[in-house]
Amino acid sequence: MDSWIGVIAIYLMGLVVVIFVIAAIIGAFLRQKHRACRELNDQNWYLQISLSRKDALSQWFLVLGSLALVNAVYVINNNFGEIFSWRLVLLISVLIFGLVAYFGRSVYCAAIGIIGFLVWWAAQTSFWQIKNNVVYSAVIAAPVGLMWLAILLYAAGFWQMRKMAWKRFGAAYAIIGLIVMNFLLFSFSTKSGLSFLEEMTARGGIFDVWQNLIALLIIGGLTFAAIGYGWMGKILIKWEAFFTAGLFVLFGLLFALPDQSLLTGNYYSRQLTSAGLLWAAIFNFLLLFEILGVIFAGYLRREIWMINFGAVLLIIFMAVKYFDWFFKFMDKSVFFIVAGIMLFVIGWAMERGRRYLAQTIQPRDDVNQENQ
Amino acid sequence: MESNHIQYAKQALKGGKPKEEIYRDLLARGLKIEEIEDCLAAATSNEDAKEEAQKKTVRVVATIGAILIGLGIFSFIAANWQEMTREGKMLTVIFSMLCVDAIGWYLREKARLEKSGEAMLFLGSLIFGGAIFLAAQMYNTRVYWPDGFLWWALGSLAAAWVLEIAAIRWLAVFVGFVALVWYPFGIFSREIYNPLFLTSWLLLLIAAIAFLISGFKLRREFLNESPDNF
Repeated sequence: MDSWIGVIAIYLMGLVVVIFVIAAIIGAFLRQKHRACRELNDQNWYLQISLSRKDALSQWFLVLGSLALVNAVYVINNNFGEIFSWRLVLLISVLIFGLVAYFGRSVYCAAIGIIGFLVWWAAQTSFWQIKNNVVYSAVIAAPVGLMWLAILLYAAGFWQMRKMAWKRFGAAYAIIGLIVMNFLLFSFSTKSGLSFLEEMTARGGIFDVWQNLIALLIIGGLTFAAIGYGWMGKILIKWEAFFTAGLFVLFGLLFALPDQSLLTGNYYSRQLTSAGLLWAAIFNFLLLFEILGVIFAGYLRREIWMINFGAVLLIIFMAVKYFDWFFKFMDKSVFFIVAGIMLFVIGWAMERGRRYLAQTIQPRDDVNQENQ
Repeated sequence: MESNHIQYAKQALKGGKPKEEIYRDLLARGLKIEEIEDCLAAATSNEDAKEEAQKKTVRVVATIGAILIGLGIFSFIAANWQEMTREGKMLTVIFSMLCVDAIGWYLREKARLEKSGEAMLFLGSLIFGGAIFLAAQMYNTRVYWPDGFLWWALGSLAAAWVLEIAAIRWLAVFVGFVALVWYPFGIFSREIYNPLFLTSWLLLLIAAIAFLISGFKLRREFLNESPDNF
């Protein structure tokens, strides 16, 4: 099972790198294509994948150099009969990417390093659980730690964005944090996610594995400090700090949950129990509030990218949930007509809302001139 | 500012009139110094944009031409593969690579045809990559296939370092990416069970050093150019 987790982890990282490359190519193409829009985008320069050809090339060289070094470390380890586990090699890889990112000020390396660290966390917590002979297929420390890390990244991201030199890093941290948060909330808001949660709470859960408990306490402490510092230092908006603190506590409670029974029936006819229904409602509401919160935070922070990001998430959320909840018991023709009308209305409302928000948060002309 | 003044400046620049003379003429027409500067800036920026567009067209055409020539050479070798001796194959590949590089160097350095020369040098890098795989195939070299891409990337990186051609730098990135991303896939799926098939760690270390030095050098240049807006 251990080697399988390794294969999946590496394939996942490979997939991320491939997606990253495709995004970079499309980004570069669009940048060339919409040269006229560049001046408008200059106020959001820190969100561009590359600021110039030299910027992109130098970062790619650093990514490839780090990758070559990581491969060299793996081959040396392999030639010496695998002295280190692949998880330790992965952690060393994260360290290499982190150092190169810091000394070369490379956002690409930083993003790959962070994703590598998140993959390492999931793999290492699973390993610690298996090592302690607590063989569940689902590990509660993985999602709890990932959520706390996502909150930490979000807070750290906005803290970094205050400094001009590290603004791009901050944006990358905040975006990755938001993606991980949404991924986890979305996963737990489905039946499959709840079924995992049920398995995760079996027996003593986190208290069976002391390594996971200590690691979680460290990450929890850091995240708690980040929320507190973010709130007091006005890095996080008051209600933003409140919401992230709520998420922090909720996910903290998950690992102390007693054995839960959330679903009944077999795989094909699973039904939610009353406890399952409660958790499903909690996660769905949290997800919806989180998405609306991203849009609202974008408005308050005057960050158009957050509004756009939240709008895309809202569309995905509504489409998936509508399909999930109504496809089975609604007449198919009615289902599609209602879906079409709904999408049309959402599109109309979003176009109007987005235009209103974008106009409201447009920087003043004199500020624009100063920047230019 | 009146557009006929800009038009005049454009025409004069096209006719090869020095800027100082145009400056004097516009001053005589009653324009203020700031207006003259704006006028010259507008005229030259249009000219620069036009020249840049022409350069880009030449670069695209020449690069596509270079790629087509490369394809032609390889299809010629492939078509006559069985009839050619091993020495003949190697000589053809090495000779075409040297020829293309020499022509590229001549066009860029001596004939001052930068874009055409750079396209030929880019073709040289493509032939270099093809040559690695042909040689490996001819001599039945037992290596893991991404190794060939890694050697190609190292060669392209060296060429890019000396020649400072963006297209060759991007080629090094693409080829290096294929090699280095594929490598762990092979390790984890146990494709390379035999240790002899393993890439030497030294090759990977050399690639790491080469890419990191190139990356840090370019990065420093970029950061020095834009210290505030990074």
